[in-house]
Amino acid sequence: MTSTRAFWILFTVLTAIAAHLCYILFVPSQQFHTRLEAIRAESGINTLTMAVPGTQAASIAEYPSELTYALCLFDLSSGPLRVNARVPDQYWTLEVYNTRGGTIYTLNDKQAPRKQFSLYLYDDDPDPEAIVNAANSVGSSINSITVLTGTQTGVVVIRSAAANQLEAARSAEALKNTSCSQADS
Amino acid sequence: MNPSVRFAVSVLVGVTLGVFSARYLTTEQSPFFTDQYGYWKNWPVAGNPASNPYTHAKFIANGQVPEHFSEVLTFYRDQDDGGGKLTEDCTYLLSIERPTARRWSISLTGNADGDPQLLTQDDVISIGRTVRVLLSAAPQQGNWLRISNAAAPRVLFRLYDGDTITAQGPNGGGSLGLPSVKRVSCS
Repeated sequence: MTSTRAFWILFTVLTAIAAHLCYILFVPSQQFHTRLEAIRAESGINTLTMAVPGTQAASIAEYPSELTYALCLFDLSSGPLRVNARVPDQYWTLEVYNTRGGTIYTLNDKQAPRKQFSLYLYDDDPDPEAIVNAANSVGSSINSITVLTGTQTGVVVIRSAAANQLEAARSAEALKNTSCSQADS
Repeated sequence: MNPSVRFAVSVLVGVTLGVFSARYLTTEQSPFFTDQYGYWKNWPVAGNPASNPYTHAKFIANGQVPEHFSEVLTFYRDQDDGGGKLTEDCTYLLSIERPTARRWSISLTGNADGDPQLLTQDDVISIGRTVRVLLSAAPQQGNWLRISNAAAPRVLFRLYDGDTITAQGPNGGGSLGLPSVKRVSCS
């Protein structure tokens, strides 16, 4: 009787551990993936979207009153992605995430080479000639940054200071001139 | 008890315990994955590629991608320095030596209208190096964050700029000098 009870207690504990691990490892990623799919359905792929209130993209903004958010869901299956960024002369960050929310790359205004640059995303080692051609296409290799993502899909998020009207206006103006598209388009 | 019933009950109890414990550990109430500095808390490895599945799940379950830990540190609290829960029935004095971070903000969330009350380094008025902010339902002179129909008001302190965070941060050996929140009066 005692051994039977011990068996069922152990079985319950093991079931709890299995359910716990399954939840932690799979449910949040699935919820995040679902959120990205909703943004993709509304805004498309390989295109920059402002996270304005009322849009699916706005759900990704954790501190919308402090920062302006713009994002670009990318799919590199048809080729590399190019982000032509015009950034304001104030605090901003650009981060590349995979579809599980993991950070691939991060850049801020103090690290960026210029106020205007191009960021290229490749999912694997690109042909060196392709990098040179991409750099030449924007005039100077100094302005060009290449990132190997190791994944074909993910999201680029640009956060820019917007804690007052002046900052918000600067951010909006800069992001209006920022684009996200396939590199060969 | 019939073995089939025992099996069903065990699975039900096990799954319930497993899911609820997982959900609890990915909330801000989790005692295991938050760093605590007095009554201030933060999720220290948010955005870090080496973050554990729990800290990672906390953000992405809400569909949000965490800012990289080297860019921003976010501290939050819902208690005053005496350990009492923040309430709109009281007025609180938040004070701090003006942070050296390139950018920082103090905000109050939880108001019924949903909009956080926000003060940045450009907004605050201070004489000398000490910044004082009053948190209150009634208008106050000087720096004021309004508590309005807030069931569970919460104060956020955010420091931007990786260099400063590295130099001053909890793991950098320095002192961040987190703000104090003292209860001044209650109605």
